[in-house]
Amino acid sequence: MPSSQGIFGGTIDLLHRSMNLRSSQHRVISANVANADTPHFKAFEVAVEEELRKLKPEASRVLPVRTHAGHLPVGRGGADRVTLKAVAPPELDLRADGNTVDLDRSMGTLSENAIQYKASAQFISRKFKGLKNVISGGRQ
Amino acid sequence: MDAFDALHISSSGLSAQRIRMNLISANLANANTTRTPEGGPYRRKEVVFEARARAGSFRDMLRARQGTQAAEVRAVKVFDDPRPPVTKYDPGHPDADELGYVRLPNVNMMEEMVNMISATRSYEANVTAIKAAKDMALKALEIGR
Repeated sequence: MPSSQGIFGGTIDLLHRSMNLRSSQHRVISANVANADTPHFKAFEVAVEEELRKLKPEASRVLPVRTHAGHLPVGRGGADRVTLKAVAPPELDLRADGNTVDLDRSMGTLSENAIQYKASAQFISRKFKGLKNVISGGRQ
Repeated sequence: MDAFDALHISSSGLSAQRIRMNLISANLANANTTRTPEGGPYRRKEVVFEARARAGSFRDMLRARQGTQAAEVRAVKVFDDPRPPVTKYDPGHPDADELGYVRLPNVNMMEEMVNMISATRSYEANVTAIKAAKDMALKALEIGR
């Protein structure tokens, strides 16, 4: 994609991916909280940092393109899939239903995630503002 | 990830205090329980907390060993209060011994109430800390605006 080169310099791509991952994370945490009382439910999280690390901004990389929805993703094509990791269950658990959701921890992760999302959104908007400024010759 | 460490550490505090509160509830609910699966009256339960470093990277672990890393709190163990049960003369009780004494749990209402207030206040303190950490992070975002 041309957006990973030139003036966009990979920033937009990275932020876009970060926002995508953060919104998946939000969905996953919401699902955990919704299932806080479901017996044997295991809490999951999106490994956002690990996922982001997978995406190295390499301008010269040639990427395969999927021309059919049934094609298997190759290379970064798999980027729209996120890997979930199980949240480590607490060492001391007073509940006997096998559920590993910790409401308090979930809330912490949720607010961190929301702030990170906001930050990414703000960065992306700043980036566009800068570009717009250049296009209009600084006249706004 | 220092900005969000505060958030996660406070969350661990919330979780720990919730466990403590659960045990206080159990103690209060069983203040007059004379029968348990292990036999004898109910024994007052309490939890052991342990400070543990947020295990992220090697550097975190190293700092934790040197004592220069902020640590989370973890509930690691529930233990029975070793104080002896309270005996009460009540010969009509089915669980009374041959002398007519019933062994009642070593739960002290006053003590539990004080612990309950302490747990509630600690929980509130952690909530306040979380709010503050969140506000700080959001304020930092305002700089870029």
